[in-house]
Amino acid sequence: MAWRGGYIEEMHQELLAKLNDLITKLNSMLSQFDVSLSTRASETTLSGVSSKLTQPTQLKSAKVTIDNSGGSSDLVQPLFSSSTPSKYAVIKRDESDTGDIYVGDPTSQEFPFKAGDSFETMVSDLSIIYVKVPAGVTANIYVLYEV
Amino acid sequence: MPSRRPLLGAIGKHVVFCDGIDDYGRLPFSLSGSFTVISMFKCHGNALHGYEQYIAFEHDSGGADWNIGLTNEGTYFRFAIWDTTGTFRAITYGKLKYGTYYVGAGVYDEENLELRGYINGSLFNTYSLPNPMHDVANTLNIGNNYGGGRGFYGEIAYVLAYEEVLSDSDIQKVTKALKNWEQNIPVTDGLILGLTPYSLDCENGIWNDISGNNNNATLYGARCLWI
Repeated sequence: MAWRGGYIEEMHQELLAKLNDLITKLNSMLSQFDVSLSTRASETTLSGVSSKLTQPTQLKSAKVTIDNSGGSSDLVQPLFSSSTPSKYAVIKRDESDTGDIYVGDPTSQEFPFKAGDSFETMVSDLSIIYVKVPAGVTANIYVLYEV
Repeated sequence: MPSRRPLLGAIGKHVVFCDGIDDYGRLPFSLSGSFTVISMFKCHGNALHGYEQYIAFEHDSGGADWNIGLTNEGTYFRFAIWDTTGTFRAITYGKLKYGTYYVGAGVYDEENLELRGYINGSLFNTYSLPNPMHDVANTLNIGNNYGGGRGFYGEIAYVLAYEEVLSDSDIQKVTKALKNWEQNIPVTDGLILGLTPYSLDCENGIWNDISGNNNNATLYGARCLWI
C-alpha cells in the first residue's frame, strides 16, 4: 500500500507540473492574443474593405461642359459640383474639342487632357477632380462611372 | 381694359428684366476681404449670344474680381473669383430650369481661403483656394459683364452683398425670405448692398439700395417688370 501511495503521489506531482506548464503556455498565448486584438482591423474598417471589394451595382454616365471660350484667363473648377461617389470611372474628352485642358487637384492641374483622350480613375469621389480650361477653350467631357 | 400696372412702381413688387443683349445696371462698388453675395433670379432661356450670362460682375479697367452668373446655356449657376495669379476659379451647380426662380449664393472666405456655393439654401460645393482673390475692381455690373457683353436673359429680383461670411443658417434664413418675396431682409449685419423688388424706382431707372450705403444702381436698357 505504501508503494501504491507513493506512486499516486508521484503521479499527482507530475500532473501538477504539467498543469502549471500548460497554464504558463496559455497565459503566454493569451497575452499574444490580446496584442492581436488591439491591432486587428475594426469592424468599420473591414466593412469599408468589403464595400470596396463588392461588385458595383450601378453604371452611370454624365456629360460635363466647361465653357471658357470667352474667358480672359485659365478657368479652374471641379469636374462635379457636389460629392459624386464612384468605384471606377472612365473619363473621356470629346473628339471634336479643340485645345488642351489639364487635370489635377485644386492647387495643381498639370496632366494634359487632349481631345479624344481618356483616363481611368478609382478615386472614391469624382468631385475631387479639378479641371483647368485655358482661355478660349470649351471642354466637353464624358464620364462613365460605376457605383 | 384698364391696366392693373400701378404708377411709378410705388405699389407692389418689381423685378429687373434683362434681354440678354444690351440691358444692364451699374454702380460704383467694391468688395474687399471676405464677402457673401446672394441673388434671386429667373432665367428665360439661352441668350442669343450663347455664352455665359452674368447676374453680377465686379470689374473695372484694371481687371475683374468676382461674379455670379449662369453657364451652360443658362442651366448652371456659377460663382467665381479671379485669384492673385490671374486664374479664374469657379464652382458651378446644374441643372437649373428655365422659367423658375432660384436663390443662388456665393461665399468668399478669405481667412480660410475657400469658396462656397449655395442654391436655394443648400450648399452645393466648397473650393479650397490656393491663393486669395485679387482685389482691384470698383464697379459692379448687374445683368452683364465688364465689357457690356454676356448679358443675362431673364429676371433679377434681388441682389444682396455682405461684407462678411454668412453662416449656412443665415444663408438659409435669407433664402427663405427671398423665396417668400419678403420686403425686409432678415440678416442685415454686414449688408452693404440691398437691391430688392421693393426698391426699384421704375420711373427714373434707378435700383435703390436699402442697406443704407447709397449703393444705388443705374439701369441702362434693363426695365422694370411688375409681377
